[in-house]
Amino acid sequence: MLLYGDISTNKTEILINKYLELLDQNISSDSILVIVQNSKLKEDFIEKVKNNLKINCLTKFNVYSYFGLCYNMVSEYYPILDEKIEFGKSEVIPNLCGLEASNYIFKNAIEKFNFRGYNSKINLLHQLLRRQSLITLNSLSEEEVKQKTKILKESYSTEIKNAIALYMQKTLELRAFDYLRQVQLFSYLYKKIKNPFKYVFVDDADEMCPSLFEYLKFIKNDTKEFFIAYDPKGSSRKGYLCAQENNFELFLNESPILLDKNEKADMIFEKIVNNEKISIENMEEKSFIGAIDMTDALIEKINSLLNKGVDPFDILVIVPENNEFFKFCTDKLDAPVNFISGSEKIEANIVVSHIITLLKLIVEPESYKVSSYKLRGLLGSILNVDLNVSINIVKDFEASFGEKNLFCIFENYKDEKRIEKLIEIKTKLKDKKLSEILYSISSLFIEKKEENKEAIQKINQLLKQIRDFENIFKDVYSNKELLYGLENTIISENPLEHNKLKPKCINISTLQKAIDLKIENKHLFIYDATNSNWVKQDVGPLYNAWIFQKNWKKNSFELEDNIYCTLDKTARMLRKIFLLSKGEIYMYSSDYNFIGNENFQGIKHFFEKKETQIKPKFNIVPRKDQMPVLEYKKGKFAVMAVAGAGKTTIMLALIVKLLEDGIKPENIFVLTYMDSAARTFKERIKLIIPNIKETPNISTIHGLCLRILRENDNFINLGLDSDFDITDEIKRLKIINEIVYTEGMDTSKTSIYERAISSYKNSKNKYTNSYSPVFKRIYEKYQKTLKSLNLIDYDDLLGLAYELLCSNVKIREYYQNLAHYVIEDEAQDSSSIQQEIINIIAKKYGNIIRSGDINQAITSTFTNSDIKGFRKFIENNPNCKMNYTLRNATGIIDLANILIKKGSNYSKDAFSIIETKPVEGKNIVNKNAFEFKFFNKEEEEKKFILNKINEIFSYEKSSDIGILTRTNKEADDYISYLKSNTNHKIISNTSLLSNNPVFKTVLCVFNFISNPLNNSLIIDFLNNMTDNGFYLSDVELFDEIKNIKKPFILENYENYPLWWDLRYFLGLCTLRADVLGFKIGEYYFINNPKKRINIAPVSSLISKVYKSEGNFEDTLIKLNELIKKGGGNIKLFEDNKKETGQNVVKIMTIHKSKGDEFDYVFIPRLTDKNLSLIPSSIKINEGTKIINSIKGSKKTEDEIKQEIIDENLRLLYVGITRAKKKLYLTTSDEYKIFNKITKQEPSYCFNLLKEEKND
Amino acid sequence: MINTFSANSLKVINGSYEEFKNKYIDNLEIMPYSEELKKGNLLHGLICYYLKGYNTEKFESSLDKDDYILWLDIKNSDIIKLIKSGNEKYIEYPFFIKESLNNKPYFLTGRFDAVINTGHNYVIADWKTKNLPKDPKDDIQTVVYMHSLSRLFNTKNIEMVYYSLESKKYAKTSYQGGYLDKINQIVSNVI
Repeated sequence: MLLYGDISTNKTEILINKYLELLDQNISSDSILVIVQNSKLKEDFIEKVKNNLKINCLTKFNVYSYFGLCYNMVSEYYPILDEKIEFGKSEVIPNLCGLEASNYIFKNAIEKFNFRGYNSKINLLHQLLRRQSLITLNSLSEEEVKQKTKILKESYSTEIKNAIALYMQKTLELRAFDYLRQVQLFSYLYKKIKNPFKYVFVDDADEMCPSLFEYLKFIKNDTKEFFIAYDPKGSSRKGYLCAQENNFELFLNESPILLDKNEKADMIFEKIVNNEKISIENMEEKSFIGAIDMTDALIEKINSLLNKGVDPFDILVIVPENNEFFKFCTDKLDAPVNFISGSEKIEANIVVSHIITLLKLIVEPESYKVSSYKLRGLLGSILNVDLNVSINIVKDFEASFGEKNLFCIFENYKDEKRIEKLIEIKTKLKDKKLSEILYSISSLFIEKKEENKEAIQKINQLLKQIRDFENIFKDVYSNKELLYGLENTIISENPLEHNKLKPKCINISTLQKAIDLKIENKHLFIYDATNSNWVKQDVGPLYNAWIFQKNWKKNSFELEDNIYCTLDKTARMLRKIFLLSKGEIYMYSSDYNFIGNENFQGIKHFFEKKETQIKPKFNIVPRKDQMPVLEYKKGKFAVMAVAGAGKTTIMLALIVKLLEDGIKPENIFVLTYMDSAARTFKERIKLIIPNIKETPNISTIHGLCLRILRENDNFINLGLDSDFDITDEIKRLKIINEIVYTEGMDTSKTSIYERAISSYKNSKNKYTNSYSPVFKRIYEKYQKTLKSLNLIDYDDLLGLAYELLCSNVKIREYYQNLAHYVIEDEAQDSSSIQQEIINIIAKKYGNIIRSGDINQAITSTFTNSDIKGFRKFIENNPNCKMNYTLRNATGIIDLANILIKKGSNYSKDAFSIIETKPVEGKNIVNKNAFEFKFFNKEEEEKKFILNKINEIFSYEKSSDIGILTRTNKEADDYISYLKSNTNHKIISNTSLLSNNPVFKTVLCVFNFISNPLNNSLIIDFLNNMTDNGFYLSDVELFDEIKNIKKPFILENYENYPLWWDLRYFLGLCTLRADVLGFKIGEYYFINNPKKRINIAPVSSLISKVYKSEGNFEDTLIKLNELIKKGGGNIKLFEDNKKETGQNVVKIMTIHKSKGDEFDYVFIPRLTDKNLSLIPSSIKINEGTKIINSIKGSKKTEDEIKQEIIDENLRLLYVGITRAKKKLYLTTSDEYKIFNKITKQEPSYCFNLLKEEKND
Repeated sequence: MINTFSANSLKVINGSYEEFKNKYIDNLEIMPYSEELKKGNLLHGLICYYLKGYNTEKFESSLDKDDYILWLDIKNSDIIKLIKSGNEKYIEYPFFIKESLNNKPYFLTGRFDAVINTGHNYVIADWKTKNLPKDPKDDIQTVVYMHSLSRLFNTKNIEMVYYSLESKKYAKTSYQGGYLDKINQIVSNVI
């Protein structure tokens, strides 16, 4: 019998009835084989049979998944197999083990062979395992493998063949077989035994892999009857999971019975496969800018449904990937949640990680140095010790400086029941096997409660792995080796793994799992629809899931093939999930993910909204100087805009116009310099066009390049693995630091080499001869390290994307076809590679608009920006000058113009000559809008500024004042000066981290936890929290804490919320550092919409540092370092908007002020040293020299000095043009430098600007 | 709703319902695995292969000295010889029996180590690694197995033989009846 029906039909019921009929005819269940997709479906099948069973007794149910079948057959007929194995020791019971053990054997096999050019062994193992999986499940013969690997164009076939042969031999020798080996053994076995089955049922035959089909073909003649249910448009597990479409009509020589079709679902399939848009009536769609907002909205919606009485089990949320932050957020759901996850690290479960700590303590009490944080966690969780006692134990432990064995300290606390038990059991377990120790302590310390269910499940998995190892390798490995080897284990997707659905729980699952488990639902939530990980490919240099399909007949694999196969698979998956949805559908998406990176693609773009008419909500009347921009039709066009000319607004208007003219958003590319600018653009477009479905492609060049690498698996062409990651600054610096150290150099040189490497990567033409051998060595070591870790850095993004575009026709054409319009902002800052990339993608349509202001190019001396490129572009193409500004008072405009005129006379390349004009009747008219002031002493200068600020604030209600300094240190200096002398609100931009309340709060709590008995840390915490408004300012409390001799935390201060909060956090030490960070952030900031958006990025920063350092204490040291340096380079969402009706002082460097504006501006300390305009006073530092030599530039020292002077002039221009109402340029005769009062000359700029003022 | 029971799960219910709930319903048990268990599995496996007619020489040669001696004794035991020589025998034979209590169905499941039809009766053999049941007549395993076999082959002519692989002692009992009532009594705690 052949049934054609999808998962929403009753095909399974029909099969079950047939099965029962056979039983009723007295056919023994022994001779019936039923194959289902997985163990959950197996249970369902058996359950339904049981409930409808008419006969009273049977022997066994042969209901299996394919892997279950292999497992059982191998177990049952094992002697036949063992007979054939000629080496190693026979085992009565073979080790049917999990993947960890066999991966270990595989790893050892690989190490014996030299894979030239493959630096990363982990990467190699990964690739080969996937390759093996594809070959096994697709049942490929050697000939087929040969033919297919030719298409891959890789050259390792001999090494791979040898490694795999060795691996296979070893597994036979050790009698250790994982599920894939079992499949291979089964395919040998079934040809040797008598087929025990007369009747064969196969449900969901569309998800079947070729290996299974080969088996069915083999037993066909023996089989009396087949009962097959097949979905012609099914096969959602195509690709890496090896599902294959088959012609069952031919196989069975029967016509199929057609069950009801679902027209809607079939239509979805057709549309997606043809890359057309689908519209679904009962789908509600919501999109957001940030991920936290999206998540909150989702939770709110679900809770409202629960409120209306919806059964939690009817709600299904599908997610693209496992996301820890999302998991935390789901705590707020009003019903329990069932996470159906794929792979997860074993230590992700807190209880398990504590058990592992305990295990280490027992296995190697002398050498394992547990950290205080971990100890606290252990005591609080499974040892169940009271907080006060725990604090004392840690105190004793720290006091002994780790000299004393922890157990000696425990001796003094035998009163605690669990500690007593622990001491007792430790002696008993001393010489036992690791698995026994783990078993004993788990049984003893993990309570048998519902909440520990997950932990117990994971412990069982870990136990199985350890036992596998112990059985297979016998006594080869010591307990310690085993423990460390398995510690970082990932419980990967074990096909025999059991996922259960629980009643009254909301199901949260990945797409494939939801399909596999056939989770029907009445409310389907598609969460994070624009995440790029929805349909993960599996292609890599050594394997390709598509080519390795048994029925892949082509001799090549092109970009179109990848696109087509991916579309096909996506269509099948989405069709199946819609078949399971019996009610409403909700799609939620966001432009940026949790850590601030842009999302692209995903599955949202398949669905179209009902109205697509663009109805913008804004009308601007462009000025005469802005008109040319709006009149732009096509071609290359340069826009030069002075400071304050309204560039962003007019650019937005142009984009809106293009959209109104019918240009599709996907065909417009906008490149900004910073992420924040990209985000602002998107937000503003959404405000202007509220019903816009999709915004144009707005990103930084890095965002675009990342997309070029990831989209359609383009990175394969570069030899990268799909798991490649971009290294963050912290890790990068650490790598370079180590290399510099091993080169015997001082680590102060690290930042120089970092810049040098970046500069090298960003230069279009890499001169190979003109850099030092030292640099060459460092560079090569750096690249090698990155490769071995499967990492690339940010600069690589540009270089690799450029390489792809240059070398691969298909990829190039893909983007050229897409990019109808390319608009670049801040063109003066873009690098030469960026400009090249723009030229390439815009080539077909030739529409490039580059806008910027050369006079505001202030980063060229220390970044990779290439002003000359923009200059040339302006010269060679039609251009317009937007030279009117609303921003500044007339006097300031005059000053700016003077600077440009005089500055150009002074140094011809400093500026691009343009005269700024005020807009008729709009600007403040004030010839005296600026003042120069000279002081004798630094103190006088500061006092002047302070007094002026107070004066201004006394008569203005809501104004902002900017103090723009030359360096971050000077800015910090002014910040503390003002903070100690005024109460005005101060916003600083100097170091994002120290400005960020979430980060500061988390750090305060962390510092406290590291030393809870130290009252001064509590004072810091209290200060921070009062500043943030969480506690009312309480002078009494402050004094109390300062004065008491004993630790605040141990005394009874129950009346103070502070005391409770501190103890609460101390109790949370059971959590991992980054999780704790998230919890702290949430605890304080979740209700503050502006600040909470940083909770996730801060946690992700802590997570990165933690992964790099490995433990809480070192993480904390690193975080304290970072807040001083200010970096970390994480994308924090800045909260620099002041509330209305407030006076605010903003303090930052001139560099950071670009793009901003203030009512009043002070630029202090304009000394010759700070703003050097005289060649003789400029000292070129070593770093610059090195970098210039790497750039291959043949610049003389004089030329370099001139460039610095030019940039300083432009820096001044930027500073001046920030001021709206009034500007103060000041300096004094002497400053304190390194604690010594030094005489300083004023900057030459005063000379340049002074004369005109006197007129 | 749990409605399928093995002899072991019934034993646990009889002891403590809470333990049953932990182990079988909530899956809160940490999997034990001792050397003894391992040895038991090994001997069971070897017996199974031997009785099914496979050539066990290769396996035997990999046994350690103590186990090998043990194995020789097992091979020589009456019960093994009996089964080996029989015609109609069932080795590692699973069963699944449907019963009902108060109109609610439930199922008994398990696996016979070995069953042989001697011609004049059925003999169920069960291999114990070490300890024999103290009271074979009333042991829950006996109850379940006797009842199940009687259903499967429609006979009451059954003898159950427990054999200790280590001590080489036997514990035997014949069909008594009244098994279903006993089972129902235990099951009623759950259903």
